[in-house]
Amino acid sequence: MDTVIQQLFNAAQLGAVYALIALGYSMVYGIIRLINFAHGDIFMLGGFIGLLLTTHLGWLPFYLMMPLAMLLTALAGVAIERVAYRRLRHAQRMSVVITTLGVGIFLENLVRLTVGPETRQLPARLPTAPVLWLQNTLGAFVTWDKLLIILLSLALMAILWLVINKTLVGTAMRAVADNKDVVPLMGVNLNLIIAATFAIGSALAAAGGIFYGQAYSIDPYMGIDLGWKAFIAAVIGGIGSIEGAVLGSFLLAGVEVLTVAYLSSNLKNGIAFGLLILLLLVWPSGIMGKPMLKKV
Amino acid sequence: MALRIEGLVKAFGGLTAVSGLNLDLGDRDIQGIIGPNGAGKTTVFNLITGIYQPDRGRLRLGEQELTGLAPDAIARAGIARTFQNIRLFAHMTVLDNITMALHGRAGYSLWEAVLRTGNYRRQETRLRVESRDHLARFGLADRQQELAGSLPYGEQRRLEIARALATGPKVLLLDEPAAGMNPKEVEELILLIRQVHRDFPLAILLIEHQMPVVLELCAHIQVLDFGQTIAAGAPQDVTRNPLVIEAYLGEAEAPA
Repeated sequence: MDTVIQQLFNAAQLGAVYALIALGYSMVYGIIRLINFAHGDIFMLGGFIGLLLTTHLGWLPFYLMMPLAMLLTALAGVAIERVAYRRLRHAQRMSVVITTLGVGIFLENLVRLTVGPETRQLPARLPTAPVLWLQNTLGAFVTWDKLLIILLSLALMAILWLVINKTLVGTAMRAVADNKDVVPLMGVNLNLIIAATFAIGSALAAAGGIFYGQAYSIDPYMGIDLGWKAFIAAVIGGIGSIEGAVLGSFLLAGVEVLTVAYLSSNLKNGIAFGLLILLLLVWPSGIMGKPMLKKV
Repeated sequence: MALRIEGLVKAFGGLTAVSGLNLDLGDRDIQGIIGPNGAGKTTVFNLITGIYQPDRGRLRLGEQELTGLAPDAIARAGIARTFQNIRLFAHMTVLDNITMALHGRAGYSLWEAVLRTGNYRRQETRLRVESRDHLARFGLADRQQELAGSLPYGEQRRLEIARALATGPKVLLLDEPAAGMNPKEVEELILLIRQVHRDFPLAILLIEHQMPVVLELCAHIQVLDFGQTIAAGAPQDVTRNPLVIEAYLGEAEAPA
């Protein structure tokens, strides 16, 4: 019993990281129908910015380092949109797909050349002691960093929900998703709203990268595997839907972790991708795949 | 003068959709543009709002040059429009539709919004209050939490006009507002446009197929055919013009 609970916490931690990435895929797709295949590499970049800040500005406490890394990654995301994607907004879909893949390869090699190809551990900045309360009540061995990563991720998702549903920028983002062509006629600068979406998506991915580096390790190519998984999670949930991205992420992580724990680690990807195919046969547009960024 | 258009030209490939249009719209005027289908009327609106860029000609709003500006800048300068086929944010609430329109006038930057500064939060609260007041003026206060796309047709039309007005325009462009309405709804629409003209300090430019609406509202109309003005003046005179009758009125239905 206790191991099941431990596995569920593992799944929640992995699902939280997937969700932080999947949200960016889903938001960008929701507003401009662009699948940003470089988004997994933004996640990687966020992790490395976190690593550089931790090693060079070691005195920065975690609660300052993390927002700073998110801000810097957000700037990178905005810059990529400005330089590489904006002028392709009316281009053929294939040109855009190729460009996003190219940006991803660029980011991977940029980090490989500047920081190095090695796998690295982000210095532990969160407490790693076990949560005694969980050990005493449920008999589950769960460390504080794992619990904090799950809780902080959920908090970020809650903030995102509030931003989208309760603020002006969020209203504008939903309006772009709803009827992009009418937004400029409201006197609202469409480019600003699209930039804000890239900023928010990249900042969330950076949080995911830092959490992932705390929980596991980082390397310049980690965005490929994790990015695809998060993309699958977003598609399963219904790409364009915020709630769907979160749901799909926890679902996928749950299936993966439980497969590894109780079946075989070799089957992990087979089952994850098989699940994608099965779910899409039943729900072609994903579990919550209705009009994007829809208010619930 | 609110809106001044000089020698506006727009061609698509070999087809000249608008060919040398001139128009002077006074500060408080209600003017109409009529003409058969494909005469270039909606193209004129798309040129004024910056959706298309003109090949030649100038657009000015008061003293401000609009030629070449982006659609959002033109909207902020004071030109708002509605569409023949209503274009609301259909999956958003009625209130959110209005808030979006007020949004363009809110002064804050991207980083203020992302970091949620005090200035941004004050703007946000103010806009929510303004949105509610604005809806009340159009009898839509009870509907504010409903999805715009779920309203009955007449109310969608009213919301679209209310949303256009929320941007604070000096000129309101109405593209066939009576399209798809029955005679009773048309009557209500005429009253609504009169009320808008009385309550808001603006000029109205109207494209319309239904002659009763034009005759009822406009002191001055301009008739387009194949992108060219074939007649202009008071509606009563224009509708007797043989050119107009040939181009437009003769082919489908007689004027009311």
